[in-house]
Amino acid sequence: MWTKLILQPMLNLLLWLYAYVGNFGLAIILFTVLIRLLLHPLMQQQTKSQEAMMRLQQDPRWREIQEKYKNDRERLAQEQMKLYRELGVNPFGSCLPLLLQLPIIFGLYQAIILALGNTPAQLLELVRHLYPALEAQRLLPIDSRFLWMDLAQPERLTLPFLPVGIPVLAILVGLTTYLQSKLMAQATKPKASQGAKTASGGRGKKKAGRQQPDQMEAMTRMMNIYMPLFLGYITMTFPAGLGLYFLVSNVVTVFQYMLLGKIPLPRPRWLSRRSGS
Amino acid sequence: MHRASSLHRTLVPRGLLVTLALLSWVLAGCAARLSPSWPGVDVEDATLYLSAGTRIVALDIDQGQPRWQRESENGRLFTTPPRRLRQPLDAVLVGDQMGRLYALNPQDGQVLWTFDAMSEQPFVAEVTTDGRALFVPHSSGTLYALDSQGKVLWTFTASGPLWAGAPVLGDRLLLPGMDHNLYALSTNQGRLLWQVGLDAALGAAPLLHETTVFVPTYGAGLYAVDADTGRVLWRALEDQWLWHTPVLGDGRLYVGTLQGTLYALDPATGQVQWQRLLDAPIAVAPAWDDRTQRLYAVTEAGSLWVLDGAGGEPLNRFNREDWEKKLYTSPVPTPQGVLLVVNENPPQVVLLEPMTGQVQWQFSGE
Repeated sequence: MWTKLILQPMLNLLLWLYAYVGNFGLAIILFTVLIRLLLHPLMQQQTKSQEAMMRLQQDPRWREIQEKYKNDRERLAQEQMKLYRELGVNPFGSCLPLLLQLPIIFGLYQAIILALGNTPAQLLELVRHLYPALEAQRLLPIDSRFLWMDLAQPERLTLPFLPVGIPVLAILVGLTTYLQSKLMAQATKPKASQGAKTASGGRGKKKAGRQQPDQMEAMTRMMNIYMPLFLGYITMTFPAGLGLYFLVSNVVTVFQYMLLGKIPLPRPRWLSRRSGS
Repeated sequence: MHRASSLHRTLVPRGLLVTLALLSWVLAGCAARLSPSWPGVDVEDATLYLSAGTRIVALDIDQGQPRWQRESENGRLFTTPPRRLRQPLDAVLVGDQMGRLYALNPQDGQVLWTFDAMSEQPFVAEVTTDGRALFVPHSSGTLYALDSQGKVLWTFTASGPLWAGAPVLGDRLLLPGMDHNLYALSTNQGRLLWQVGLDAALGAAPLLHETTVFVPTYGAGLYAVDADTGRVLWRALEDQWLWHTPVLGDGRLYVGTLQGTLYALDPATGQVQWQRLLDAPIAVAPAWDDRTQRLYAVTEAGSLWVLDGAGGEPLNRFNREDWEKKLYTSPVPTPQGVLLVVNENPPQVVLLEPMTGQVQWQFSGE
């Protein structure tokens, strides 16, 4: 089922793109953009859920029921449920797009490993999964070179004056993941605070909902550290094709947030002057 | 719902860490699943040389006992079939997954010398020789001509990987490339004599017969090419995936396909003389036994087929389910029976009486 539903469609799409552009690196880039576009509605949903959760935890009613029913957990749960319903919040709504990414990562990784097999035994595994319409005999073997990288191998940039290779792709993946997380955190934060102000009607009651946003912030900080390190490590140790997916995915996500208006687009100076005058 | 909320707060960081750990574990597992090569064999006199995984074994065929066996350095996998040579040196040659070629003493398996291709890509093709030089194609796309001490005489670089051995005809070498080209090179300097572009990758060694070279392809069938000029004489089985070198026997050319059909062709014209659909894809070459006029073929279903070479009638079929997807080495007919290599870890070698299925001995690599 995994093979038929995930692996084979992804592999054949990747090879179809390769047949079209003639470069496996470009095929991975196009593939990533396509996947991100397909996941766009889910990403919108995720952003809404994150904002709703932030608003909820800054809402004075949330703090009030926490205080009021702190010794009656059953009642507390009922009241919280009411509030969730009232504000239309799904506490798991932000996890779904993350979970949906997992089969894509597994499928893509398997597809890259299969497509870039470098022995007859490995290529035989690939041929079993190809759709006849692909006319794979014209495509094989797949050229795994892209820029300075061999997409089938972990990436290192070797320079003549250095004794060891530099994992450039892993560094880029780590940096873009960090940048993306920071931008995402900023993107949801101001609106949430604004929402809280409106709901509470002023600064005096803001302190009531402070504790839980702190927890959320701590969690976000942890994510901001772990995720770049983890994805950097994966990129450093696994075939470069997977790292390329992470890199492009990060960049496209930032653009998606820009398009959604979550990150302010940089305005040209002449436009700012004009609107100022 | 309170539970849901606190669960959410607790689970997301922990869940994230678990997910990350799981992700790396699954990714690592996926990588380990694809083995780079199958066991390879060469037979001389009564000794079978077997390279499989990290091990190379010299096995006494009569007794089923190892004469010697050795492990690779640092757990590297052997990725070429072994080749037992007398000239230009008395050695067994085998390559590994990190681009190192070993010349081993055939008496005890000790390393005589090694040659490094200076690339982390594997040697896949078997070594060939004209009696003076060794010809070693490498998957980086470079063909190395080496002397008997492993020193480079000359090199030739193709525009794609080289996965198949280059047979020698007189003073020329016929080199199949994954770049869809068949190259003819002079054996003394590596000068390009001619090249012909075919319609698919050439991943299995061609068969030379007189002045015709039969070239199997990945997805474009079988070509017969004039070895003197590079002219295509005929093409057969046009859309078939051929993963092995064709076999000649009793004036017929035998070839099996990934679609699971075994064909007997007329070598002069490429006309199909007979064809037989077997029970699964045929990924390795069948074996012709001149003594009994039988043809032996193994399939991915774990079957050994015994066929009448003249008409393709099945004489017997021996199948073991636990050999499914484990027979990726050509059967070896001997006067005592047929030798089969089972792709296990460690590999198994079985001497089988092909008409009764009786196992005469079994070597399990221990």
